[in-house]
Parts: sequence; structure tokens; C-alpha cells
Amino acid sequence: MLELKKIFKWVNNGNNRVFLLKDINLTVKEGEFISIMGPSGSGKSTLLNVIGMLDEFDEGEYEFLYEPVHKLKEKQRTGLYKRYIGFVFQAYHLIDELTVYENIETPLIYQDVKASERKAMVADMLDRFNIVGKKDLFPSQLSGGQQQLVGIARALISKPKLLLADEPTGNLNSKQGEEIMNLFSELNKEGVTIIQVTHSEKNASYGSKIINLLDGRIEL
Amino acid sequence: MKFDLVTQFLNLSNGVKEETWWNANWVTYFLLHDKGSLPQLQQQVNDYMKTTAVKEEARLDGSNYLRYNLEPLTKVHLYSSLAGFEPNGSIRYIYMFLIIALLILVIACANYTNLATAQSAGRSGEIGMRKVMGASKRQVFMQFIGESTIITFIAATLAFLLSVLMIPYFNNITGRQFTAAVLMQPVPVISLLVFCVLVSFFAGLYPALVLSGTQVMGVLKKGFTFTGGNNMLRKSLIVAQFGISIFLIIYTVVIMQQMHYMQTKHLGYDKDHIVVLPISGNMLRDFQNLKDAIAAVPGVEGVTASYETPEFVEWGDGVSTTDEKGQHNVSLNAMPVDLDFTKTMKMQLTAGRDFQESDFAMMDTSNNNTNFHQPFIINETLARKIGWAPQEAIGKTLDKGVTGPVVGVVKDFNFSSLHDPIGPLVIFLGRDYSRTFMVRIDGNDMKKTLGQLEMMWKQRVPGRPFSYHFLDDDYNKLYQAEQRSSALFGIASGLAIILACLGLFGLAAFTTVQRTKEIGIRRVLGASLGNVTLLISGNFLRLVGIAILIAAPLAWWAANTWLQDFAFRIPVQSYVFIITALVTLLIAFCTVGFHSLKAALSNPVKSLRTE
Repeated sequence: MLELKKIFKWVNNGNNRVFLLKDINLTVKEGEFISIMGPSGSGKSTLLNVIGMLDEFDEGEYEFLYEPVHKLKEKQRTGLYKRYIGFVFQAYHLIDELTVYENIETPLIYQDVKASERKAMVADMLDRFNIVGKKDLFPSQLSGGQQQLVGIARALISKPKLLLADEPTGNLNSKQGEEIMNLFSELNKEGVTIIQVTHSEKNASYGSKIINLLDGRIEL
Repeated sequence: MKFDLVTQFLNLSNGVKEETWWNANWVTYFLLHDKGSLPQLQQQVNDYMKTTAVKEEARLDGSNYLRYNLEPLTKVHLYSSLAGFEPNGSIRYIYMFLIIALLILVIACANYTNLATAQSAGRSGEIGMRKVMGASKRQVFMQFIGESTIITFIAATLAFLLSVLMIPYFNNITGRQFTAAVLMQPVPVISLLVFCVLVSFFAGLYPALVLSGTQVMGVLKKGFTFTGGNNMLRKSLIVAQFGISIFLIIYTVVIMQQMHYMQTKHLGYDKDHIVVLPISGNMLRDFQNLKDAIAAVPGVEGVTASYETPEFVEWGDGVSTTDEKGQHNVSLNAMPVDLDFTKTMKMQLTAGRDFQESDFAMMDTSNNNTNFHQPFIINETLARKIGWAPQEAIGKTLDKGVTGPVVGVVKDFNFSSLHDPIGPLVIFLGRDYSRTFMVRIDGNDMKKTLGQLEMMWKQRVPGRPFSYHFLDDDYNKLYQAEQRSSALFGIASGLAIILACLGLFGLAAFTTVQRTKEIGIRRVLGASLGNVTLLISGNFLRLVGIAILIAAPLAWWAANTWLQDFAFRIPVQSYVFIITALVTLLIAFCTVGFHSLKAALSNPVKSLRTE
């Protein structure tokens, strides 16, 4: 599904070049559930952002669904990730001013889906996550677990092939965390490719493969 | 009072002292023993004018009577419709400028309130700490009021210095001779101080209240956030600011359009390329030769003479005539002119003819004027007023003290200010009244023509300097007050929109900072640059839109009210509103768009970083 070849990313700090990612080679096949682990500052989130095309890299090649990402223009890249990638964040990153319904609907608006279709799709999603009753609430009226559920619903609304999750359970208690992780393995079984960043061995064990990062390098 | 010469009324020739009721030529001044007796005096004058004896003398029937209106001299300059010793000002303009100054002040205060409240988000830590250290609500409140006071007083000092420096420019626009001393008097200084106190209080009040009332722990933990009500205030302030700006812009545009209209309106004669030369009494003796000499100068197309120039006729008079429908008395303006008047001025005759050489024969002064006949040209309004069709009027007899036939009817032309409708006018042949030559030149080489006129003048009229002016300049002088007002309005509305945009700029900067996270999320969810820019600008533009909806009808009403003052006026055009709205939206969009674009372009990864 995607392939990273010799990816480097750095920042220049005075005369020193600090590497955030160093010689990353990674192939992800469709249907995989990968966990990225490593200590703080090892580049986990950076790698996830590079895969999600939110962040650029300085060197190397990245192929996503046979498209050479490193050669694409900003607009094409946006088009690509809008269609195929969903994001889940540790801090949920819901929009405070919008209701649950509107939050889930937002990505569809940016993909120019027609209003009637949007309505049906959001209704399906609310149904599936059992949050129909909460659709008119604002994020601040929900518990953390529920907010993350909305976050995941939002990520899945545009039927992405790849789900990127940056410590999705980091702000949740263990019971809520477990529910989210069960949901992830279920989604994975339905065919969604998942890459998650996590600190927890237990969460990592839900995945089919673990990648360890240290100082921007993949530890084998 | 400015004058060249003062003389007693009694020194004037007997003709002008004739006692008739209709010739309203003179302003009469009374000195009353008691100020309060004015209404009583007015009543007595009216009663006297209603007595049968007076009405008979004035040849009036039925319940008609003449009114002589009394006005206190102190009110003439600013309130009267008739001129006093000097050209009148209007109290309305003074009020209007006062209101505009206040409106601009409101915009500036709104900016301060808005930005101070917005900026306070960044100062929440400071306030929190002050409260932790034991500052009372009152102390925090006073701190913020204090800050606004200091800023206001610094601004007032700068404004005062700026005013002193700007006086020459102000004089330039208004045509006055103010000096800095005007500003140093107690009234301006004290009112400035009072305003400073008021402004610092009102502008500082809201931020001070909000900030002093914040909960310590909330602020220290989460940072300062705005509640819904607060947004309401901020939104209303933006609407108010832009409402004021839009109002002023539309109003100014309408005023300027009317100015343009007045300058370019076809008056019924051609005022361009007319040189006006003064005639003194002893020049009348050699009148015909002088006139021929002027006409002989190359470049001169025509010469005529008259008592007053046609752009502003003040000679008041009365005529009467009797036809099958009875007697008609009309109070009107009159113009004694020389031959070739309508031809030189390029006026149109709807019936009859211009005066001609043979008409002088009618004016037979032999035999103690027993056979004297005065030929008249009347304007269409006078003909209509009497009830004559233009063709019918020719040959009818008019009585204006002297009687004579109507030889022509001239198409109505503006002989007074455009504030007033065209009234009845009688033009009569009266070479001996002439005070000015009006010379139409072809304008091909004005300098040369004027030079040759001057040469001729110096030979023929050695005693008088060749001092000429142009008729169109005289005309423009009539509307100098309006010209100046419109210039000031232009400056004021420019200032208003700049201030409003400054405020919007600051607020947009602040809002985008506040919404950085949201913008980041939206970018990650696939929002394009356009989506984000529209999102941020859209909110502000909606407010500007509301402002337009509120301000446009008000401006329409105000502009129409102002235009009512002019008998000759432009209609208020809807495209003025549309263009103003579009331009304002565009300016607002550019102001906000800068920040929106900046926010949209920033890397969402940065704004969403949590660790």
C-alpha cells in the first residue's frame, strides 16, 4: 500500500543538523495493523505525520498507492490524503464550536459530497458507533472516551484505506482505552489498514507488527 | 462687517426711495428696547399689513396679504435663508461636523475596547498572578481604567499638537483664517479634557470589567477564553464601526455627485468663456463706442452688458398686468440688460425676439416721459404664473412702474442658487443701469484675447484698471460652502474607513491566533486554503454585510434629506450603494484575508502538537 525509501528529515540548529528521521525504509501492505513504538522524541509522531503527508521530508522517496508522493504538488497531495487517509489524535482535536454531527460531517464538506449523501453517511456512522443520541451535543459535553469515538467516526466517515492514530488512547482511562483498541482491531478485520503510535506494550499487541524507533531510526 | 463705503439711505437717488409695497429691495433693521417684544412686533406688523388700506395700496384682494418677516440679527448668519452682511453659513453643517467627529470617536473607542479585550487573553496570566498576590477586583479594575486613561491622554496630547500643526491645511480647505489661539481658549481645552475622561472611561470600562471579574483558577489553568456574550459585544462594535463608515462613504459620494451635478448642470445659458468687466458711471456716456471696440477685438464672439450677472440675480421687483382673467400681481426678480443679452449668453427664446436697436425708440424720455414704453422679455415661469402660453405673451402689456410690451419669452434659466426653484423673472432693456460688460470669447487663445482686450481697455478707459473675472468662477463661488463641506466629508469618511479597518485588522489577527487549532484540524481534514480563508473572513464579512444593511437605508434617508435643500438635485442612485458595499467588503476582505491566509498556510502539524 505504501513504501518509504531512505527517508531523511532534519532541522538545522545553527551549524548542527539535527535528524528527526534517519534513513527510514518501511513497507506497509494493505490490511496490516502496525504499531510504532519508542521513547519520547524518537520521531514516532514525525514519522506518522510524514506518512499522513501532513509533514514534509527532506530526502528519500515515498510511494502511496503507486503515487510518488515526493513528486506531487501540494494540491494533489491534499487530494490524495483527503480520499485515503483518516487521522485520530491523542487530544481528539474535535472542533469545539461544532456539534458531534457537524464534526463528523466536516471532512465530507471538504470533499464536496452532496448534502443529502452527507446526511445518510453521517447517520450511518452515528448508528454504527451508537452515538445517535449524542449527535447534537458539543464536544465539551462528552467524556474523553466518547470524544475519541467521535474522533474515530470522523476519521472513518470518508471510508479511508489507511487510518493513522497518534496515541489514540493517551488521554483515556484503561477501560475506555481498551474499547477503542477493540474497535481498532475490528476495523482492521474489516480491511482498514491501521498505523498507530503508542507507548503501551499492551496496545501495541493488538497490531500485527511493531516498529521500534530510536533517535529517528528504525531499530531492528 | 466689511465695506468699502457707508452712506446714508437718504443720499440715494429719489427713484429708489419710492414707497411701494412690492419692491422688496431693502433689508430693514430695528433696534428693540426689549428683546422679548419681537413676537409681539411681528404680530403687529402682520396685523397692519392685513388692514384694508394697505391691501388696497398693494393691490391685493381677498385674504392675501404681504408678510414682512422679522429675524433676530444674531440668528441671521447661521439660521436665515436670506443673506446678512456676509454670506451665510448654515447651522446644519456645524451640527453635521460635530456628529461626524463624534462618530469617528466612537469608531476609535470601539477599536480600543475590542482590541483591549482581545489582547487581554494574552494578559490573563498577569491578571491571575496579580489576583493570587492578593489584588482585589477593584484594584485590577482601576489598573485597566488607568491604562486606558493614560493612552487616551497621550492620544489627546498628540491630537492637540497635530491640530495646531494642521491649522494651515484646515484653513486651506475651509477658507478661514484660524490660528492656534482658537484652540487655546478655555472652551476647547476644557471640552477636550472632559472628552478624554469620558473616552478613557467608556473605552476602558468593558475590558476592565471583564478582566477584573475573571476567575483566578480558571484563568491560570486554561487561559482566558471568551464567552458568548462577549462575542456579541465585539460583533456589535464591528457592525457599528462599519455601519458608520459605510454611512459616511455613501453620504459623501452623494454630496460629491450633487457638487459635480451643480458644476456641470446646463443652466439655460452657457457660462463658460464669459469675461466679466466692470462698468463705472462715466463709461456709460461713451457706451456704444466702447462696446463696439470690445466687439472688434479678435477672439470676441459677442458683448452685452447688464446690471447683475445672470448666475445670481438679486434685484427684487414687482409687475402687474391686466388681461381678460383680471389683474395679476407678481413679486419677482428683474434684470436690466443691454442689447444682445440673450444672444451673447446663448439663452433660448421660446417666443418673440431679443431686444433690438429700434426698441430704444420706445423709451421716449421727452415730454416728461409721457410716451415712455419699456420693452420686456419675461421668462417661462412668469408667463406660466400669469397664465399665458409663451406665444400669447408676446405683445401683452406689463406694468413695472413703467408700462411696456412683452417682446420675448426666454426659456427658463437658473438666475439664482440651485437651492431654489426658478422663479419668475422679467428682463428689461436698461442700458443705463449697466454695471458689467459680459464678453463672450471663443476660448481658442484666451491669453491672447485677454491681452488684446487689456490693450484696448487701457487706451479707452485710462482711469480704470483692467480687472476681469470669469462668469463660471463667479458661479462656482456660489457653492463654495458646499464644496468645502464635501471636501471635509471626504476626509472624514476616509478616516472612518481607515480606523474601522485598523480595528478589523487587529481583531482578525487575534481571532486567527485563537482559532489556530481549529484551522489546523480543518486543514488535516482536507480543507483547502480557500476553505480556511473563507471560514475566517466569512465571519467578519457577515458582520460587514449586516453593517451595510443597517447603514444603507440610513444613508439613503440622510442623503435625501440633504438633497431636499436643493431645488435642482440628483436622484440618489442605487449603484452608489452597490459599489460602496462591494468596495467596503473588498477592503474588509483584504484586511482579514491577510491573516486568514497566514493561518491557513501555517503547518497544521505545529498547531496540533500536544506534547
